[in-house]
Amino acid sequence: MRAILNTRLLLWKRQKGMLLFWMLLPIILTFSIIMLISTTQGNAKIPVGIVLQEQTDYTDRLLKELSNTSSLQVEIMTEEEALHQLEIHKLDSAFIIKEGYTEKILKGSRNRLITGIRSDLSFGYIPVSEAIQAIIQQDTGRIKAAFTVQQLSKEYDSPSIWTMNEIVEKSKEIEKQENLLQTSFSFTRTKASSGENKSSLVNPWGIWAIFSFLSTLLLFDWLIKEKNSSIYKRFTFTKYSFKMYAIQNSIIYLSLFLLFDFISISLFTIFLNQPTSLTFIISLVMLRLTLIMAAFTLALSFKNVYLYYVFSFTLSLIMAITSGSIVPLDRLPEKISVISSLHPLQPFLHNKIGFFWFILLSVIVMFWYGRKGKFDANY
Amino acid sequence: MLTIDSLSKSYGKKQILNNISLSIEKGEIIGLVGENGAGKSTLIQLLATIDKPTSGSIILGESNYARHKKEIRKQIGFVPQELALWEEFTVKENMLFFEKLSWIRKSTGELKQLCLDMSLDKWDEPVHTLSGGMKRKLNLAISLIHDPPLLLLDEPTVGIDLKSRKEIGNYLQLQAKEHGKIVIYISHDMDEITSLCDRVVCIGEDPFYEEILAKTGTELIVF
Repeated sequence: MRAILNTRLLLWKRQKGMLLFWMLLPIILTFSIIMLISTTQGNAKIPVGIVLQEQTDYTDRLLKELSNTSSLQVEIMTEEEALHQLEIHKLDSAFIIKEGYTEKILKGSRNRLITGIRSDLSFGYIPVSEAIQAIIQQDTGRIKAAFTVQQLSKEYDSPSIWTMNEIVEKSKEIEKQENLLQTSFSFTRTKASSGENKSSLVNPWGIWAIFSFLSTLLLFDWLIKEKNSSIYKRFTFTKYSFKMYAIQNSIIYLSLFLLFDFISISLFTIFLNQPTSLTFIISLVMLRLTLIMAAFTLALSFKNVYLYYVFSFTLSLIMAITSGSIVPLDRLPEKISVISSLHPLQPFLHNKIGFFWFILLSVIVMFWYGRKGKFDANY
Repeated sequence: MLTIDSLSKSYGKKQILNNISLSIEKGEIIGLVGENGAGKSTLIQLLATIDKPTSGSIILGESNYARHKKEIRKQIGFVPQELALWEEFTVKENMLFFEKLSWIRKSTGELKQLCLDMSLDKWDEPVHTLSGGMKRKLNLAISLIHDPPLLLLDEPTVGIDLKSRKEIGNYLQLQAKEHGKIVIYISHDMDEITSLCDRVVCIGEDPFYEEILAKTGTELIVF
């Protein structure tokens, strides 16, 4: 193995730029696409102006909740500024949090707390005002509940009297612990979706898998080039047959790919907050083995390297479309179970360990290894 | 010693080689001549274990080709007609590459000396910048890395200048006479054949070769 590694290092010395480019391509393109999507989403946010006539914990909470809404771009400004920006359509709508907001909330009153202003081109006014109403309702609901708890304590002469703040804080704590607002819905007789592992538009591993598929295929062009080159004949008279040379080189490529895969895991975990588990790592290693086997068998079956490139790009495009990782086709693979079960990337995209292609390709490679070579007299 | 006994080869109904028997001693240089398509390359391929005879046997030393193919291959230095080199590599990198794949280990110094012995001194030059003669020398040097006792050369000097041709010839004679190697050599250049070879094997009866070789006194064996 060391001898073959040395020969490969001699070859890599001449192609280190290209090698590094294709190895890093899946990582670079995944980051680029994710950033592009984030920027596009940022640009598509509804601009909303907020005018604060008073500032308390309650107005701060309202502002924080609105700012956390992914589809809104919230800006604090004066009333004049808000009106001007609405006039020139720089704002979709504006909301004035009036003086006395907190007092009214504490009294449980939900009327005339906020004034909403919109222009004839506003399209986000209704959903934003509904979001504000929901937040106010939540706050007033909490206050009302706190009043009721205090009154009950008085009526039944409870030994410990809780303050309003204590009750409100406790209710927030219970809300967090119980996770009351998160639940799964499903149709009768269908399995509830957990919301995890879905191959969506912004699934970094989905994007990575497609480009990794392409780069693996393209980097295996060495097999076609070396199989077709004049040096092929020399393998009859060397310690290693071409078959052994090709297999050992594939193992070297596998090791290099795995190194870059682990770099990908580290980068995606740090910068894209992607969760990692042992199952995921095994699934990724299995995907890598399958990709290497696929590239190996495909490269063996091609004589013309340019045809192989065209085929690799076409196959990667088909993989991208049918996987739903880059182009979501209403979760096509889940609807057509055949595609789902045969698609080589699906097990990885669903955090599962796929064996089908690995076993099939292993059988093909073993069959190829057992066959008589081109320059090998079979006595 | 290489013993070829009643060797025949046919592809389907077409007979290429018919009942060839020949014994070659250590240190002998044998020239293979004949018209294009006569079967010279087929004979070289059979001797190189690339192809299998239809009938007959070949024995190198104590080893029979049919039974000890792997062992036989370790003893063969095959120089193909086309240049089997990495064009983008230097001479040094080419030698190192094939040394790694070779049966025996050789130091960089030994590899360099092997090249120098056949006047190939462009050690750090990329192959694509070398002359045709230099490339042919490297093609031969790579085949000799594992010190094979049997050298099979398929037109190793085709298309190169006279000086390089002479240097390769001198080197092959040195290998045969001083190191006892068996050299089997295909060439269309009769001057080269008569000056280099101890005996000449002509595949197919051809008065042209017989006439030339009779003039020089080189022993001719016709099959």
